[in-house]
Amino acid sequence: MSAIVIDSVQKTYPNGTRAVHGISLAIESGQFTVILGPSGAGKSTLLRMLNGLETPTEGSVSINGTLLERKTLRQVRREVGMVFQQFNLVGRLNVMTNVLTGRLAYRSWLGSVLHLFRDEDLAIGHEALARVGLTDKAWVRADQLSGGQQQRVGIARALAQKPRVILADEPVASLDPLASEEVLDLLKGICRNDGISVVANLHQVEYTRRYADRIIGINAGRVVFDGSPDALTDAVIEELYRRPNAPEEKSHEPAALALAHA
Amino acid sequence: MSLLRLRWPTPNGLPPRLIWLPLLIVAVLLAISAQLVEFSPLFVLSKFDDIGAFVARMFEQPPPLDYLPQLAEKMLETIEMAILATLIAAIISLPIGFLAARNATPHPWVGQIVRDMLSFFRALPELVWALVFVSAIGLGPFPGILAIAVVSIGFMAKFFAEAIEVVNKEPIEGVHATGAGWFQVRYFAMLPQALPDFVGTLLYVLDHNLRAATVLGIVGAGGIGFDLINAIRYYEFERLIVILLAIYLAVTVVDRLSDVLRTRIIQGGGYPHGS
Amino acid sequence: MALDTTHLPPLPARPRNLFPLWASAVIGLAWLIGVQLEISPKTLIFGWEDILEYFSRYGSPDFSKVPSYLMLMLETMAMGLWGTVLAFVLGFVLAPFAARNLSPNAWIYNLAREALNFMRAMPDVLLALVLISAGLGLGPQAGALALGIHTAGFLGKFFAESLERVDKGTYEALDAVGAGFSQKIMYAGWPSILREMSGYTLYILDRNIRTGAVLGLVGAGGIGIALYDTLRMFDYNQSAALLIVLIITIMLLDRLSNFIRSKLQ
Repeated sequence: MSAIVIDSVQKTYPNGTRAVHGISLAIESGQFTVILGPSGAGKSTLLRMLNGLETPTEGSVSINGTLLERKTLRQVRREVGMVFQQFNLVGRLNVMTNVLTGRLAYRSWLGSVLHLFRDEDLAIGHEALARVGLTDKAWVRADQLSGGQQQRVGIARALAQKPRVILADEPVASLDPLASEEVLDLLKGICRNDGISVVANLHQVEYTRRYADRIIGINAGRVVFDGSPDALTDAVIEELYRRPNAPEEKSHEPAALALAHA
Repeated sequence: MSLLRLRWPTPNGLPPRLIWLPLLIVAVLLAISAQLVEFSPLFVLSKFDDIGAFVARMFEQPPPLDYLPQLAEKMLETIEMAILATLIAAIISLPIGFLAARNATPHPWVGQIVRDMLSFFRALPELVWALVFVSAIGLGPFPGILAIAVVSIGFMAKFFAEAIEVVNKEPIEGVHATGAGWFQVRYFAMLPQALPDFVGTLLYVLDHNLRAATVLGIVGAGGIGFDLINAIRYYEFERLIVILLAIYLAVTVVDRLSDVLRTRIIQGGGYPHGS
Repeated sequence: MALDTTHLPPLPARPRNLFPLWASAVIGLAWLIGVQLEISPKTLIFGWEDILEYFSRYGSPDFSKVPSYLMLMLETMAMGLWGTVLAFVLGFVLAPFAARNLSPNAWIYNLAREALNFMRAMPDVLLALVLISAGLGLGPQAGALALGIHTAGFLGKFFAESLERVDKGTYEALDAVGAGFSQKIMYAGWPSILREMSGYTLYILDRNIRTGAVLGLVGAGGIGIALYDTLRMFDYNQSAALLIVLIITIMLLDRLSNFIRSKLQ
């Protein structure tokens, strides 16, 4: 069964910008899929639609056979971990509490009021932290870690959800090369050993070739390439990164990213 | 031929409009309202001697030792009123702040109604609220505490809501993406970010409330204010000076303390976990 | 069914969480204060019933005297304005001496700070009382002076703190061209904090008009006198009308100053 089915999804923002023009895809379970493309191509919008952070204007998304809609939103999000470019940790909470926010969807609001978690949740958090190699930082405030460490906490938070899919939105765009490889190795290992499907947005061709099982190339809101790393020739890359003639697309990615590419 | 010419370093040599326009407006308003305040500098200057004599009389008598125990008791009551009112207001302000914040409120209308209500709480100063509460439930520190608490809620919840409105969006998205619910997102992603600000506000409000508590006794709402107004009314200068000294000391100590704590909290950012 | 975590690298020792300790200390303190001031939950509940009954007496405001109340409100606003201008002038003069990085020497710095501190420490209601009894007599003039002196303490402190936050290089550049104390203030100090200054001053104006409304309670003019009289005579209909005038004016001013402040940013 396909882990993710995207059916003719379109996204037009209220200001009229069309970020995604009718994309249909099926993403298999257990694969490391990379969505590749220049910034502003609509990668981020596409990925964010996969767990309901953005709602498609038209079309639908199904995760593991569940149609993503308002009433299934929490249930779907519970099974879909998300890793962000800016890590999106709560800086003032300690690392363990950040990881345990991955368990919130399984618990009622009343149960979480006093920051008290069940032993089994703590064990899951412990396991997730061990997986990313940060058990020694469990009680340190999240904003005191380095970028690479924070991203690993972000991955641990996703793991604590016991997800079937992990979405990674430019997970290494804010990291130095060493930390980038650490994070991508980690994601790849999780995909291989735990059978969790990983869908990552990347803009670096080199990383994409090294880590992807399947590459989906996107430019100007359309799929322009879909295949294995071997098929990603230089000609394809040139096509992929060509500027669209009409500057119809506006960047919807964080300003920091836009600057990094300027 | 050299003529002394002064001009501002602007294209037309005149001060920028941003400077002269507000000054002009204020000057016009002052001129219009001078009559309303019956302001006459000469009169004030002519009274300097009287004010000096008034102050001098406070230092003429020896300190009234037999009054000191009562003074201590009343000062303690004043400080206690300020602390209790601030605590009550803080506990109530936390949930109200979430209702009032545009990005956290359950519904825009709820937010608007709550914000208007807070504006109403702030509109009347403590002394007026105290007058109303004293008429309603009688003399004593309790109406004073209620009066301070009402105004404090108006301020604290407003500032807390503003702090919530400017929290970073990324952590909220991160917690949202895990499938956390409405309450959980507010509790785990917004509260930790806004709390240090709230503690800063709390200290600021405590500082303000102590000043307010010192005068509530004027309308019978407890604290040192009652002794104060009597000392002035009956020209008990020896009492007046010790009361003023006591107020000055208490207010200064709290002022300094809250300054120090505020800088430490805003820099250190203590949150009741880990750190 | 908890996971077996024994094979994992162990977590470090959990730091002690002092929050419950602090929380119980604060609750204990509040309870002690409540006991000492004889505030029982019972008083609270019965108190609220009385309050509700009491507020219902304000049900039928009498608007026949509103024009004269509006005049009084204008007087209160004028008092607030004059007080704020006085505070601004005093603060403007004192702040550079109370800024650590600008003050000519430590003595003057401490003196200026203590002066500002003293002005802040004397509540304005109290200052008004003293000024009235000391010879200025009843009327808004004493009120404006009291507001001015008290809030000068705040404005001076705020200005001084802003001056201290200005980037060191800005002052150094003027030191380098040989500028004196007052030149440094006029060309590096105030221009750098103009926006903050106007924000603080607006905030103080707002505050002074609110507080001006109560100075009448001690005889310093404005709408407070009328309010005190009608409340003392249990004339609920007039009090209600007065309170409505007061509340609406202050809420409008609140909106106005929020608007101006948002324009400033």
